Amino acid sequence: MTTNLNINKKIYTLDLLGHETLLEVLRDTLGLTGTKTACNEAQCGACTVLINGKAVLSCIMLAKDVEGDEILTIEGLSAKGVLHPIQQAFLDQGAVQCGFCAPGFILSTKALLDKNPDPHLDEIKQALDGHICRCGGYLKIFEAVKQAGRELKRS
Amino acid sequence: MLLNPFTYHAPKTESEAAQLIANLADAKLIAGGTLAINILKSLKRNHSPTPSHVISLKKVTSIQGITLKDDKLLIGAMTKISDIIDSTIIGQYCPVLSIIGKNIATTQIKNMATIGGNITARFVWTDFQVPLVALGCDLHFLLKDDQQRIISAQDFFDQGARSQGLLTKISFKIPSKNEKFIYQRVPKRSKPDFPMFSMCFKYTVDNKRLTKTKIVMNDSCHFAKRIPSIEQNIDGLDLTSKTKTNILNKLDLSAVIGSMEDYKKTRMLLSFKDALQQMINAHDNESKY
Repeated sequence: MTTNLNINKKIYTLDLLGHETLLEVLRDTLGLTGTKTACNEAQCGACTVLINGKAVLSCIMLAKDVEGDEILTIEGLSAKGVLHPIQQAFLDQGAVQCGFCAPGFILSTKALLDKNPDPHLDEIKQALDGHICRCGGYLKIFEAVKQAGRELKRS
Repeated sequence: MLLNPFTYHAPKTESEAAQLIANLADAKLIAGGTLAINILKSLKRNHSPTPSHVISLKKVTSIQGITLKDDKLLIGAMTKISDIIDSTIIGQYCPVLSIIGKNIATTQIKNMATIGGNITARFVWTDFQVPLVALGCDLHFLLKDDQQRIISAQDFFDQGARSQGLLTKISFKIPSKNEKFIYQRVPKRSKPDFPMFSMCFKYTVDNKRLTKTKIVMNDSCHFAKRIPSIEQNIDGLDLTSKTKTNILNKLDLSAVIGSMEDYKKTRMLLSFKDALQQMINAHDNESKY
């Protein structure tokens, strides 16, 4: 089945069978490996992408179901080689250890700050409640979100 | 591939979806996909048979959204949990649904899961069962050849939550200002976060007494149902009485406790006491002003 997917503002025309998850299409078909495969059971958040600005789990989403939607992956966040303020904040605050959970956290942060530019700590924790960091870097991550919020407000 | 092959169907209208459901007996329906896709993965991992057809309701846009019609509130079956939480209509007329939505899973799941999927998934522990029964909701189904069927939420769960056709919307009379709700959800001790049980209390205060009390509960073994024995226990409670809190020590939970483990009994008793205390406190606070 011919399927048009709008990923990072680019239209990909693919021939899909119908039973592929979005995560499989992103990584295996398109080589966009920034979105990670971890638990594959919607428990860890590593596969998070944004669909029409909302954080969703690509491991439990059929690729065919998002035809016509705007999909943002971690690859689409930076522009012309310049890191997005959220990515920069994560680096500045030391919020990236092994880095495996980072793309998911960063995209959920984008969804949060787009809706609420100045979140309280409780709001940050709630927005990121679908993510696990096995390295245990949560405090740094929360600081990174706050820094990113300040930077985005400034700009 | 994480999923076994299937034929993917994406109907765009309610009639098309209802016809597909009627014609494809073994088809798996996908609403938000938060339960269904993991089930399909699990079946494949266990080398169990998987459905040869999947019907995705994503494109049936007419069954999404929340509206008011006369004195009724209508929630489309494909309305996302996050939309219920953010809805100003729900916030104004039935905030208990927003509270329940906020307790469900994680942000990403809330952005994907639907209220229709939550109640038709045939899992006893799902969250929206108890408030829909407490609200006296009707569930609207579309069968093949555009036949309609309306069933009360109570009857639906009493019959084991067996869907017939396409669930299109949930409707209920807008609660009056006198009708109040308390929701209790006790999580299990371990992940994943399925509730041990959840309860919704609906009550009215009439002449300073609790009246028209509805108590609905579901747990890890039972679909949502009312508990008439406890409703009778507390209906008529005089909220001005100095001994009103004695009711907290007289609750007879034998009808629901059954063979529960001791820690569950304790949690349940505490939840009931907490809910009753909230009702009493709410009345006392209102009486001051």
